[in-house]
Amino acid sequence: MIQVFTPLFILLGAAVVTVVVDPLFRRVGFREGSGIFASIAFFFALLFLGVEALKPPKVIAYRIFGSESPLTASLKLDPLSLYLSMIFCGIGLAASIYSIRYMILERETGLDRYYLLLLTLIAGMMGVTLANDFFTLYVFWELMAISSYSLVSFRKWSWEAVEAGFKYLLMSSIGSLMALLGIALLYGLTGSLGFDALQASLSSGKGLAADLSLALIIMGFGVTAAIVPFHSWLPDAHPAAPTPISAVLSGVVIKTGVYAMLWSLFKVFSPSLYGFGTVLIGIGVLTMTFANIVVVMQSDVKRFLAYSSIANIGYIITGIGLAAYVMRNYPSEIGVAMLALTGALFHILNHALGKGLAFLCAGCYIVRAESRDLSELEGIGASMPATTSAFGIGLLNLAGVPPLSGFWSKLFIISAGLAIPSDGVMLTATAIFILNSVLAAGYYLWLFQRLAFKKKAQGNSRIKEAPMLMLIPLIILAAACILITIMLNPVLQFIQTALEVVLG
Amino acid sequence: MILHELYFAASLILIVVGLYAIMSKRNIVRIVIGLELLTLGVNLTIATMGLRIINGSSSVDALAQSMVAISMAIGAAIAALALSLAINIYRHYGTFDVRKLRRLRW
Amino acid sequence: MNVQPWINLAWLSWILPLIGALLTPLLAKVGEKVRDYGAVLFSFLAMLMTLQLLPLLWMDVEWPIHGGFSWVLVPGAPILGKIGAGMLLDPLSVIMANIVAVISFLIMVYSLGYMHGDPGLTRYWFFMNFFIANMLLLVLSDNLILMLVGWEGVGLCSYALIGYWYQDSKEGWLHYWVGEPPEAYPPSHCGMKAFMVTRFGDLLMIAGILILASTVGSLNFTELVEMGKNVPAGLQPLLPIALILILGGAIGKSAQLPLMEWLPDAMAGPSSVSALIHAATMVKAGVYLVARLFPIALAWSMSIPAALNFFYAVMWIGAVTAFISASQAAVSSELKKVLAYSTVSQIGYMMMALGAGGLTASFITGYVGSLFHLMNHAVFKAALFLASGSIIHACGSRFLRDMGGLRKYMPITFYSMLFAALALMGLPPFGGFWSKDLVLSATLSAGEYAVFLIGVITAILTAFYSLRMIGLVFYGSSREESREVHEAPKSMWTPYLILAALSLIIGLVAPMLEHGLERIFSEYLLLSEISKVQEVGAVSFVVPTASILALIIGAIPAYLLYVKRAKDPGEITSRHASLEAIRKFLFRRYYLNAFYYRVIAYPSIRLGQLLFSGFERKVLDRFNYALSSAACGVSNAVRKVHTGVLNHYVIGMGVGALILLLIFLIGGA
Repeated sequence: MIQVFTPLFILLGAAVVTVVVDPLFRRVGFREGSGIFASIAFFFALLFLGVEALKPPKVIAYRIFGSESPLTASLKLDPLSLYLSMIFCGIGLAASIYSIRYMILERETGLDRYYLLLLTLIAGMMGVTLANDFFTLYVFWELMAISSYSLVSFRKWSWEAVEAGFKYLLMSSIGSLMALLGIALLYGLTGSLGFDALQASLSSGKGLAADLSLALIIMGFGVTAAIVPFHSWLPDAHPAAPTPISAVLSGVVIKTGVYAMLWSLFKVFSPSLYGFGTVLIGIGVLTMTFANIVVVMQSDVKRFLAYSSIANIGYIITGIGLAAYVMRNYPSEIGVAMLALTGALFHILNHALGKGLAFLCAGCYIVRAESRDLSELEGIGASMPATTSAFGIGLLNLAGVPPLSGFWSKLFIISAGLAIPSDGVMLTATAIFILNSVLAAGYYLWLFQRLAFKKKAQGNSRIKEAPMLMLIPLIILAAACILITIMLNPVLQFIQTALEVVLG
Repeated sequence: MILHELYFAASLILIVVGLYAIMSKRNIVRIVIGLELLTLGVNLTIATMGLRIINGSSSVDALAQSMVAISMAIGAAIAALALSLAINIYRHYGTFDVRKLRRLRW
Repeated sequence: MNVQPWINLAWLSWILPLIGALLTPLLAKVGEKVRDYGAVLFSFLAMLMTLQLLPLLWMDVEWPIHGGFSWVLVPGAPILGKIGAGMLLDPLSVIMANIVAVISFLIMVYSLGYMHGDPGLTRYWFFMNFFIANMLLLVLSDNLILMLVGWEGVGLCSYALIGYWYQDSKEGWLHYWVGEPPEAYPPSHCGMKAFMVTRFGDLLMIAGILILASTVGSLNFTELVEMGKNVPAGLQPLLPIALILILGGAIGKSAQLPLMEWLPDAMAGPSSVSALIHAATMVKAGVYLVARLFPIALAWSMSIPAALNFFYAVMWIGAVTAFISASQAAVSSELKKVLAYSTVSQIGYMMMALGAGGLTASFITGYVGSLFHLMNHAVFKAALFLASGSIIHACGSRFLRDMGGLRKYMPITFYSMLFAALALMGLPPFGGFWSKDLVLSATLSAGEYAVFLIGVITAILTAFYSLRMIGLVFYGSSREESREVHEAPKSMWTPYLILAALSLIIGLVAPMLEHGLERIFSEYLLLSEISKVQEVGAVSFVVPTASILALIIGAIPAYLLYVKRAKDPGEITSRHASLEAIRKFLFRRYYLNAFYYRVIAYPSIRLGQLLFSGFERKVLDRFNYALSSAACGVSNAVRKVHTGVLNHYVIGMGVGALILLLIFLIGGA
């Protein structure tokens, strides 16, 4: 039981304490105090999760109030939750350290609320992965969502944040409500909300209501995951948020949507019974193609990175879709499905690291140049070598340049797609995937070239390097990218134990 | 059973009206009201799912009740946030017209 | 026995200099002395690691010691299987690693004095340490792919360091240009030439590796022998072809015929670079590769007789190269070029020994002979190059005609070079004598008398040019009266004095050393039932007699012409036109170099220029512009979807949801 609750309590407890402690710090003049406090909390949560991850894998399920009554909420801790929670805490830690200096440079106020919201955001995400029934999942989901709405519109004095925040709030709430509707339908069908119970009841196909519920769940969680018809909030919300929050949003919040979809679809509606694989492949392909087309003409660097996040979600959904497709149509080829899912889950990690790194570096550039426009940021990389090296590593990782880990996750998905050569759907999807990867590699490298190698735009000559406290998370994330590249095998093993929980 | 169908029909109407409001109204406050209608419709659906009629007496299952309660609390929080954002929008843009909120596009 | 500590030493030995290389720019920010001593420190650490591996040679261990990890492992995955990296410790790699690390360290110390004050030193230290890391990776890796990484790395460093003075300033004509018109080249050109020629060899090597990967299925040295035997009969003819293609890479890297032209021009780099890369270590990489393939080819030849062609190729290429370059050394006008040609020739000897060894039942002689000669050559050639650096520094010119009579001014250098040259000539008791004998014995016991003869003739030429070099530099009247010629500083002569002394010491303990090596390797390479350990000296007295005779025959004319200066060589050639013709032919490098330029290099450049103006500009560029404008057009059109109006967004969501619903309801999940 401790394992399940401790990281959550660390974060939630720290959130509450921050509000109390921050005024005290500020009175002493120690403005960075709450930031450091939040970072320490993240660090301990990550440490705890790391220690848990090193133990042999097992699934711990726990019901609060422990009775048989359906009133209880149940939580679980399995390798998949550990994997995702560690990613969430890690990016949260990086963003938190970055915020310490960033928020002061940007002359923000209300920092106690900021760190409170950041802590509850990550706590909510962690709770989503820890939930063992739909009710708990929904509660933590909303905790995450509300925190993110507030964080996007944090800069109330800016029209951009308010406009983007409102649109985000509206669209995301609609999504959550649709997901809730789907959950309600499932409840009506089977009378319970626990994942295991639902899985048992739905194994004997339930017709129209189940299909409706499936569609609603995909749509509902898909809004947060930013798949294509439901993605319109993302290009506005991510640039408008303060940069460390953009990193967290792009890096991990949208992945929570992916997790929720993955879990509901694979655990509750098992892929061999319900044929959602083709739909997911279609959604994934549409998402990545749309995003990759629109990204090239963007002039705002953060909007550029936001669109590419959508594309990466497309890659992940395609991987998941391929796995579901294979499990439905070729039940004997479970190895292929494993490969595709491994690629998708690994890509979650790679994209979180790479995009988090890219956003944080972009933030350093923006802070120094005081502009987000790409034409004014050209060539700034030469004056900020440390930032640019980290940026380069992040972009190379995203572009999928071997031997960095981004290459491997995409390669796995492509290999899984090509593993059954007779199947037209998989082949087309893989072909489009490869084309998109190539296009993506192109524009990432183009972005890097513009920022690092071009002649400096005028006025950029007096730029200094980013402050140390903002460089530390960059170094941590870049080192993590390289470390994972070297230690590919242990990471892959961990992902595969996580997958065994999903696939049963 | 008629009861169930009636409630379902009501919630369906609420949901559809709510969505329509969000899709077509210009005033931000009306859009938020549409969101609230949507919330209401979904909550009603949950409650109806939990409706059990035993020997003429109807009761709603405890789980459904707790879900609705929490969902309403969340809905309230979201409404509060949405309205505060709406007020901020008025401060920045001088209008509640959502068609004027077009500075972020393409 | 727990092998992990040894494997860790192997990993550390190349990772440490790599870290050193990466840290060099940072250290340079701290201070110049910090950077210099820091760089030397890392090479010292590498040496420390490899020295600790030496005890393995006389402990009772189960060879080979192999440790690694698989980098990517997805079980059940259809296309991706295992991709691994690991370190292989066997007598060959341990010995080579030590040769590389020790000599590298001594040369790094030498560089402190030799390169002092040069403005681009950060770049120098970076590439030197990077080179050491890659070279150690090359010899310690356990599969061909990892070795290829090290291989390419040393190629890169070689390019960068040969072209170190890439500014090609005319003031460096006497110091670091190479050759005389019409074959005079600036440093940047030499670097590129080295890179291109070795690249060509690398292409062949990669082709061979690909063939091996697809037929045998593994590229791990320990697995190749076994798995090669399991190759289906239809594919078997491909295996010897693959081996010979890989040999192509070795030929390139070790500057054997026909890819030998880059090494003489590589002398444009600093002398320390020439010593390290082009004498002691990188050019030996090809020999190392052949030695690695040696047991594999030998095992395969049991079932695939065509595999023996590999050994024939190695032997003949080595023999012919040895002769040709020795003859070129005899007429060279530059000090470092003599040493360069000599290196090519001596490596030819090593290849000869390996090739001959594979053709006979007592393969140990050839194998050990080649390895021992590698060891000796590394020591004395490095000493010669380092000393030549001092001499060129002192005289201010690279040409032999500007030197002379240095014996009284630079005694330490004189004795070091003399010792090293005597070792090169093969005078007992220096080390070179013993290893050369083993090489020649190997050819005899393989029954290859023609090759033996070539070897002996080359020995004559070796004695001739070595003594010629010593005579031209140190004897005769002093040329530069006005210039102050003095002995090199201590940090410069200490390394080459140590190396020269080492060549004598190795020679003194040679019989024991040979016996030890033969014992170790025969246990390790136990491949066939008929492996008898051939004892030294059991092959009659033909070989030692022949080699000493060759030495005398070669030394006497050289002594008369260059040491005693009894006659002037210029006079002799002007009197006999045929001798002058031969001299010119040898001086112009058998016109091979000119051939390569006329027939391959210049036409390729012309073709490239034609393609650029005709095809690239007109067709490809226009296509690219069209493509990018189309993409931008599409992007601008599609992005209009995001109108900014919230209602539209929600309508989009609704439409999407509707479609999703319809798909599920109609299509049926």
